[in-house]
Amino acid sequence: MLFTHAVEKVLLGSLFSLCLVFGATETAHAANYTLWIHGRNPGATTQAGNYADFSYWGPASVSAGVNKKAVNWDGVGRIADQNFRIRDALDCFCTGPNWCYIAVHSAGDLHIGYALAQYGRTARPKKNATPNASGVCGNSDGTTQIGWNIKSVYVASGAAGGSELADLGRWAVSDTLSIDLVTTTARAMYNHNTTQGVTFFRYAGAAGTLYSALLPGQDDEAVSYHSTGGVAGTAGGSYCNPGDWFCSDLNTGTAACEDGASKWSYHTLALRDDAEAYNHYSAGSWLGIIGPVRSAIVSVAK
Amino acid sequence: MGSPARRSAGAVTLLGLLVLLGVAYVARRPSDVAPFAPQPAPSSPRALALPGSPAAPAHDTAPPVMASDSEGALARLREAQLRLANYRAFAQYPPGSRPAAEHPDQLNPRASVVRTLPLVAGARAHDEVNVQLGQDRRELVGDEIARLWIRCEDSLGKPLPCVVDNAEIKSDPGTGGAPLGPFPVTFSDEGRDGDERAQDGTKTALVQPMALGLSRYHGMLRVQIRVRLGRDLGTPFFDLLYTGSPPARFTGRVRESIVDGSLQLALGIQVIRAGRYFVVGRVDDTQGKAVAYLEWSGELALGEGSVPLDVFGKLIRDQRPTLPLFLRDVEGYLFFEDTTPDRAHMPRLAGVVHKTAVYSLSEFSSAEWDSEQKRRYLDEFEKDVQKASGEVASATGTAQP
Repeated sequence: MLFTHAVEKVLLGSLFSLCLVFGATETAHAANYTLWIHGRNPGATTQAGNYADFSYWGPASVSAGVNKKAVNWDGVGRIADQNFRIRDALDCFCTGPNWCYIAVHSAGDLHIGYALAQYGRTARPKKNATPNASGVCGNSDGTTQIGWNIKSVYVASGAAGGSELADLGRWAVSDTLSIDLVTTTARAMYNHNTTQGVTFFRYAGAAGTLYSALLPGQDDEAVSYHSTGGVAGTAGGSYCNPGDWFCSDLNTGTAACEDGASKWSYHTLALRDDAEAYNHYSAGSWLGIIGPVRSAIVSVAK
Repeated sequence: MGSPARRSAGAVTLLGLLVLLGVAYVARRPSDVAPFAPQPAPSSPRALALPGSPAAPAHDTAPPVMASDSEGALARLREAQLRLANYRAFAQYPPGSRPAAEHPDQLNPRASVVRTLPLVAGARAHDEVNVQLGQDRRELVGDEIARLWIRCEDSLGKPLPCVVDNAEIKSDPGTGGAPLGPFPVTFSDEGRDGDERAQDGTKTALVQPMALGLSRYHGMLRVQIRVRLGRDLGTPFFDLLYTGSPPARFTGRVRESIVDGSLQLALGIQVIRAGRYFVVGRVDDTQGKAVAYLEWSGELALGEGSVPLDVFGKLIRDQRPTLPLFLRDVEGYLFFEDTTPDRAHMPRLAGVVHKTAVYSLSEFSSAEWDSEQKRRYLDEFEKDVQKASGEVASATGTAQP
């Protein structure tokens, strides 16, 4: 009886341990994550390195893709200075057996593009997806891999092409990120076609009114279509929804614009805001152009 | 407490569970370890447009918002197929040897950069007055000179008589270090000192940081302008990235050879500062057709060395250029991690740098690029397509072909 009881305890213990090991191994073997990289944030409301802090976007309780993680940075610093935060997150969750869906907003577009172009062919340490307080994860098996495991990138109002609001000095000088957001600087920062073969789905809003005299073509109150739509070139241009005779159409998908300007390679325009329904801002509630990106992510990032 | 018999039965049940879990675990491992056997796409995929191609239909590119399980499953399948098709197209060639058409905005690095902004006076933007700002380069090295121009226009492009009240250059406060400047900059419309045509409304300035005593500076320089049209005053600016002392120089020597079925162009380089470099070059054929965009990045040690720019064999075969090939407009920079400025530029080699020998296309390999990274991506993306196809079958109750 005692023996049987002991066997039962051992078996129960083994089963529990095995379940833990099995579960942990499953996690270690293959987990998908959804990383959300925010944009300019002069309010500095997010905690850099805290992957649970979704305060930039909206309530953390809202669905936003499988195993969602908020990739926070200081929101005002230069891209090159702050990009380590993004690489820490990519190393954490997008190496080894783990794969990532990436969602970005505004200047977060510059961050992921810069990371892929400048670091996407470097050896990355495989990590265990368990971050410390600074957002850095431990090594898993001590080996490295080339680049990260990224399924797709979803871009809400991407500022990789800069914004004329920076060209026109509309943002505070103390906000040094605005130097990087000058259209010619943003476009020269890295080769935007170099995504390592990862597809960027771009979502471009057009509900802007306040700065329509400053921003060329259609805009979402912060960034124009030339950037949100992924139009290639060394400077911005004027692009609109169809129907405006005085402005070149921004075509959807990977198609070139009406004036022949091509898009960055591997970038595709998933949403052009023909109804002028989406502005730039989340309003602390996953709103604006972030809304349709979140919906797509929820459906796709499983 | 149960009876011993029940406890024994419980133990046997647990043992059975353990065995089952063990079997399940072992059964799963091979699929985690062994390469996933590629399966044909479940539904005959439509001709998915390659990235950068001129006419991809929008519905092939959007992961739409779903209203039902079957729509969600279909969207996941469509996106998985697109992701796989894009990656397959990409992975034919290595990341450092790409079709020129994939990099349309990188092929003419000597083209001027021109912006058009509204004249903003105070908080008010002029609807009818634009300021065109042009610069022949964004980056300068050593004693190089940048040509800048400014022109006011109405909405139809007709020049307007604006006046440059003041222009000065100074170091960018975001770069750090002690501020330098401001130094005055003179814009004129006299048909000299870089100005192409006198009195045509375009005012031009030449800026040479070294002549201003900035030869030890490395970082952004901002040329701030006060431009006046009538009573309206605007304040546009130019940004220039200046590297006073280049970290390396190209020697101009290029050694070509066929390596593993690809054409390797080894560029001579004299490295003054060791570190991680990026080097890019463009390749045209003898008829001027843009063939390839080449990029190399890696560590370089001090002293004289070489950088291999590879024109991938299959890329040459697929592009079918008319040989010889011409390497042109080679640029490079030393890259710094986690700091601004993040790069120190080398003097570029402008124009044609090297003319290759004439080869038969059959001398080049037609094999696709292969690497662990590529196999990792294709395995995962093929799994995604297979999984999404199963979900579609479940959601719609139809077997996928």
